[in-house]
Amino acid sequence: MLATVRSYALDGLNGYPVDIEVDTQKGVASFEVVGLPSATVKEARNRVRSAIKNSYFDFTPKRTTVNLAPADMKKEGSAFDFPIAVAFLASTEQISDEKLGEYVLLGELSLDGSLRRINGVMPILISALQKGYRKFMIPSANAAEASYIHGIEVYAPDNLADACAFLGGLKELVPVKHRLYSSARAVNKYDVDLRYVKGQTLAKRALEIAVSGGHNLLMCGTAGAGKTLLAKCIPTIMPDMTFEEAIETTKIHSVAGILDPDEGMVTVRPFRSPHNTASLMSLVGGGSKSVCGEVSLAHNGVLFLDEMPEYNKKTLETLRQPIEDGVVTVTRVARSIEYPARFMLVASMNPCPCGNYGSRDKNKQCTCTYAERKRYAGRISGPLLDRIDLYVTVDGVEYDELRSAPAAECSAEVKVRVERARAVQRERFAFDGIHVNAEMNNRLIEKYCVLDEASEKLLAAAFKRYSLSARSVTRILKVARTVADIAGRENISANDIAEAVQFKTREPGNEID
Amino acid sequence: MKLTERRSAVLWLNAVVGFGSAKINKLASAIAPEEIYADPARFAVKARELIGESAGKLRFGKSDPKPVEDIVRTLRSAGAGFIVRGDGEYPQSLENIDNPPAILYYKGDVALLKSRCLGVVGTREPSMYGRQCTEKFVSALAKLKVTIVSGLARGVDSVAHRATLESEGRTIAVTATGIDLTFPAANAVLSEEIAAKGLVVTEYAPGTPALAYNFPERNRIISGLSEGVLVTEAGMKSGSLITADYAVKQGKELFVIPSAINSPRGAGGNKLLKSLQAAMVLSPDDVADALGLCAAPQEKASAMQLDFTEERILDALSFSEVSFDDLLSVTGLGVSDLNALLVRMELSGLIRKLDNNYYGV
Repeated sequence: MLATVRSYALDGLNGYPVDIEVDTQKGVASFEVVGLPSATVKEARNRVRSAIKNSYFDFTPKRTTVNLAPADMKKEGSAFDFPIAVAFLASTEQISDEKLGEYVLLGELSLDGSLRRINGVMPILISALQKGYRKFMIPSANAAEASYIHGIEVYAPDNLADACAFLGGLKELVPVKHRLYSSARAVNKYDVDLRYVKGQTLAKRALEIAVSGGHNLLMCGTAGAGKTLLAKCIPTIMPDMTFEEAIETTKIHSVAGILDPDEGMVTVRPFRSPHNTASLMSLVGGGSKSVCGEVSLAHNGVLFLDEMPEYNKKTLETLRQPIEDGVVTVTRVARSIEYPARFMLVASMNPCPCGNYGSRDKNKQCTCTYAERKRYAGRISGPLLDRIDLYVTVDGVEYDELRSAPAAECSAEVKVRVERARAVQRERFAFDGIHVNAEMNNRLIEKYCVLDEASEKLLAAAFKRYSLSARSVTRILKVARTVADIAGRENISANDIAEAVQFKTREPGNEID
Repeated sequence: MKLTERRSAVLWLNAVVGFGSAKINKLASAIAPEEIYADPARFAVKARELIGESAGKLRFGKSDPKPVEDIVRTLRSAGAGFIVRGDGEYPQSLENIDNPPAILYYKGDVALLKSRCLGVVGTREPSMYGRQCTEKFVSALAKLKVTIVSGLARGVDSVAHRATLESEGRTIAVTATGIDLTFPAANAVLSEEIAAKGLVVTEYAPGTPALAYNFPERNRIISGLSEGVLVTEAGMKSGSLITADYAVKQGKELFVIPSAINSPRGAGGNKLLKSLQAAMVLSPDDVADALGLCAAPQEKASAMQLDFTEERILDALSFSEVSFDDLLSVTGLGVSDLNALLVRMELSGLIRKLDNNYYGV
């Protein structure tokens, strides 16, 4: 006879319901899966067979057809094992199909019948909830992820037998308890702190501004000056994630399968640092399965590109669109998927191939030719540089300073200021659909970056003196807004503009003559 | 652009046949160029005696006027003109040197060639010190109505041209490429500005790319045009030493600004001083006195009101370049305030930001 079970599949971050129909008839024994299954889904039959037998159910060979509807969408992943097994048991009348219609079933089966963790539970649950589904059965290993979503009833059985007993009314299961989101868990997990970075006041200030307003930052400095250490300190001053942001990021991490199973939620802002050999697809996403890339994994967090000129130039250039738009659209012949990618770009580079150009150390003088330096700096294109709001030079620290300087401000103190600036921004953008200053579009800039006469004059002078581009000016305005927010000023003052200008001039590779 | 027979002939020899000034001068010393142009075959034997095998290139001449017309059209579309020896605009100063340029292509005010000129040359990679000295000397001297001649190269040359333009003086760029090209390409904008407000001049035919052997040869024109040559900063292998050499041979004044003895970028200039070939100059007045230029009226001290902190910063920077971190402790300001103050001071031209968060005056 025929049995139907409801399951769910993902297309990018959005889900769609999948009806799993299993029909068993008399005839030559077979087990066919139709409805555009991928190889993983086809293999389900082997797992289903063993899992059913090892759960002490009957798997007498029959002519079995499994249909995954809608039949024209390609089905990926192993989440259909569990619903297929349940539908099979229902169609062979081993369990009652009375309550089957109420639940959405998801899960991978192990050969012994236990349920295994799957990817993408969070986006599936959110998307199904929006479509009106309220009751779910998922593997117990995914329970943590589900616990943060309110308004649904989730059961997380350990194995197929328990699930069937529950569906047949023979056993009670406790629905997954809701948890309240708290970002406090993230505290003090770091082994770096701004306190240990000696000197570098300017670079630290740049970090603070960048993090406060979500601005892109480029650190340029001689080898060993401390660029990477500074970058590693960024998570220590990053503001806590709001629930909304955490959900956005968790959805992506859930799909990518890199979610911490115990935590069930991304509570710490992601800090992604792909190596400079990273391929284009791994960075922006794509491939035959249209997976999400590092830019999306860094959503609401930081994408750190150490030694930026060492990356493939073409790879770097693809970053231009996500930096500007905050989303990546991965388009393949079969489908087009949009992944959010609102990240803060932090990059570091040496001033030249030998790494010593501009050093004040007599023994560390640059040996590169002018052409070599130009070529090196040229690996980062002008349009990409233009999209970076803050440039800062990180210079090596003198020994005295390194050893004797009083301990600097610690990360926690900086973080307090960052949080304050972010709170101001949250309040301001409450009805604009964005989180930070860096995301302001031209309309919002006009609305929130009003300049008085003195600031206007200063900006005009800077525009002329430093040959700024139109885009640079909007970037300066955004940074000035952040500087004012850190200081708690409602209006942007001339000093704020001046400081923003300071971080936008002297881009690397732009030597005087 | 009037095309007399003589002008067409020299243009033909240089741009169509491809002879340089040396060969053209040799030919012109025996035969008038216009006669060769009229009938090259007639002078084949004589030309071979004068300039050897390359005389074989002398063909067609006036019977085929198209190539010359093409060149004239190219020049016209580039907004350029040319003068040859004997033209009214051709300066006497160049007639006096060894191997005067037979033809000069130019863009801009050709009359500048006859003004009082000072060559300013130096390394392509100047230190901050070299840059500052060049600016200081050039802007002071440009105000004394002396035309600054340089070579449009990177580094000191560009600084000299820019400083002249900024102090609204006049400048000549003697280049080593065709008049329709700019080398280095990065100076294209500068070159246009010089053409608009001064003069760009070259002895090389349109289309000549940057060829290494043309650059030293070009230097004789820089020194030739000038009453004196000022070397602001030159390393041991700097091309400006060649210019200095020409200046000495041509009997011009040679001025050198001394550099620190441990500075490789100024070693060439210091060597010139040690060998007593050049006069050491310590201020723009030294140059002005030697050239007999009347001193400019003393400029009034800037009326800008500086506050206490700004004074302190300027004080600190007057001794040496100072890092941002050190300025923090000097002024006692917060990072944010100092940042803003430094940008304001830079915008008003009091200080400037250097590499690695250092500041200088």
